[in-house]
Amino acid sequence: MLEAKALAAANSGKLDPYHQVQTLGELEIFDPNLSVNSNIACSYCHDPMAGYANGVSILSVFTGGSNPGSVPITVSGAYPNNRIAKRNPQSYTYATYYPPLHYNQSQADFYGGNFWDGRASGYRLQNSSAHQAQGPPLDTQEMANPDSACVVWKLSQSAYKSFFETVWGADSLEIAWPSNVATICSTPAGAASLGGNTTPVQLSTSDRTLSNKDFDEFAQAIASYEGSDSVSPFTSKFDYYLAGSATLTTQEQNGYDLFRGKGSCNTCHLDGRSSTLLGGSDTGQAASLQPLFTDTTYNNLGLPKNVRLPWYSEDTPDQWGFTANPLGFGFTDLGMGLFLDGYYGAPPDLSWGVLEPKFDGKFQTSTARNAAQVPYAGFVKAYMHNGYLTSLKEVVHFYNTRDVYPYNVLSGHCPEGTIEKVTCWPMPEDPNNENLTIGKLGLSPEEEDDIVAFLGTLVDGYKP
Amino acid sequence: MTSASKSHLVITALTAVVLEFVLLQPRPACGQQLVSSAHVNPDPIVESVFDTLAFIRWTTQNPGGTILHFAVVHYGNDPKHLDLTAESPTRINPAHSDMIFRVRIDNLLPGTTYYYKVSSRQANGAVDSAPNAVSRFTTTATNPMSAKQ
Repeated sequence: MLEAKALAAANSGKLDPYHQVQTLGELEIFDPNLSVNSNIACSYCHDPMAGYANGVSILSVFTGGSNPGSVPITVSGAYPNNRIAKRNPQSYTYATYYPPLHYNQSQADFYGGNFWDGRASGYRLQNSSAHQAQGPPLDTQEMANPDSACVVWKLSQSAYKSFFETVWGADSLEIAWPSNVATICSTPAGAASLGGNTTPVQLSTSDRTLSNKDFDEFAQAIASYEGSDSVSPFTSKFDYYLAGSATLTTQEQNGYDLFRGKGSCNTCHLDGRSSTLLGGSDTGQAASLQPLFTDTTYNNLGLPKNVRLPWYSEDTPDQWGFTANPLGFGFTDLGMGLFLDGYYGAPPDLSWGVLEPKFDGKFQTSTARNAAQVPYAGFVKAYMHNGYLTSLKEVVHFYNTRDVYPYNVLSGHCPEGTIEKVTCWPMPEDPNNENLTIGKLGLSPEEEDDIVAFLGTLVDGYKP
Repeated sequence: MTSASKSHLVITALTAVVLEFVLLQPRPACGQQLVSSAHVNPDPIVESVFDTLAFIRWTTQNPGGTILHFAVVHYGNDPKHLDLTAESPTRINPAHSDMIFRVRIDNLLPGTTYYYKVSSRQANGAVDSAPNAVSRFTTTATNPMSAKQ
């Protein structure tokens, strides 16, 4: 539906340059042909109706929100029977407002970047969301293209090829493709037959340069769409409240007061309030009229390991001879620590490597905007990097009571007499660098509900 | 009463029975300033204690500086030799006048008395002023209902 509308707009010839780039990004995001098996698009894991996060309720329950990728696993008896990513897909609303990843020397802390672990640093394009957009198309567990040139080749075969060239220049996609390009581009990334080669499509030097440029521009168009009014419009009730054209209910106002007071939520989920040290409660007016509700830093909240992630079972070779997670259940998700330690290759700034111990277990503070958006009542939404929490009430309760009910058990093994996620929080997956700003906030159940109500005011699309 | 509230009571009761909180050195050490404010309690308290785990909490005026701070507890079995250190990242809220520091201490021995004092520092290493009294707590005996790390 959305892609048909976007294609019609692209073909209308009536779009100004600003909207041409955004529309191109929209077409790309909804195009399943850009995956290795032409069966999943970016939007399959980033559903507009779920705040551009996982949009399949049952996956939130059984896989931590992690979505099946493009490649089925046909090995007899295999579980899972599809390559599946290791984390809950992060919403990309407002992702373009996250600056390129940088280490702030005066704060001694990382800011910006995209992806839960910050590896989409945006260092080359100075655009972290564009860098993020280049990840899933090549990720073995997601769209699984074996070569960035395969994405470009598929763009050259698409219904919007000419529109791409309208945006990025005539003949942008005129590349001399080798005769075996279709065969290579239908081979999933990581396949043993590729021998570890990440550029198996044989291109001339000039065509490879052009292909790389196209891949960058493909990603920049997606980033443009992510920053558009369709994805990041600043139209929540809270935005209208800041503009003076909406009034919060008593419960929402209580929640807001807790959010920036007793709950300390706006310590990281910045709400744009003034930051003057006033003594006593904060009575300042909003210093930003489009607060992002994130400071884009990284924290270890001490989340338990989500044993439901299929990732832990992806420890044997698939029919392509690829093993996604050789460590199996022994894998510990160190978040940013993985990135800094070279799990994905050397970090772009080699000096960051020594910082790894201080960032083990840390994941990006997501914006609280649209966290409450669900496609329908009763939809179960997965939260946090591993989808361990499945409602905003659980999220707030975890922040409130993590250190009140700490148990040295794995998920599923809380002692008799306790209730997991209510009066029992299993041990952190990684106890290092655990943030203690939260954990025992002293909120009553009603106050938790108030904060949840306030989070509901951060969903875009409010009509004043 | 729900099982949830029973569990909470068990933990609370254990804490109340076992916890000992004694201020041994009420005055700040030479060169260090005790933070004072009408609405803050600079004295650290044992927020909760289990068999192998304890949480220490204290409140100061907002120290400013870097947003990321580290709450630090120096502890040991001898009040004159606090050789062990536990520290936890904590973020300050610039809009709040007070700052709550909390530290999680893991790998404690059950049924053991520990002495401790607290401090804090900015992410860049600069040390905040902080209460400097030595206090103590005693862990619970091993209990299957309590947490250990």
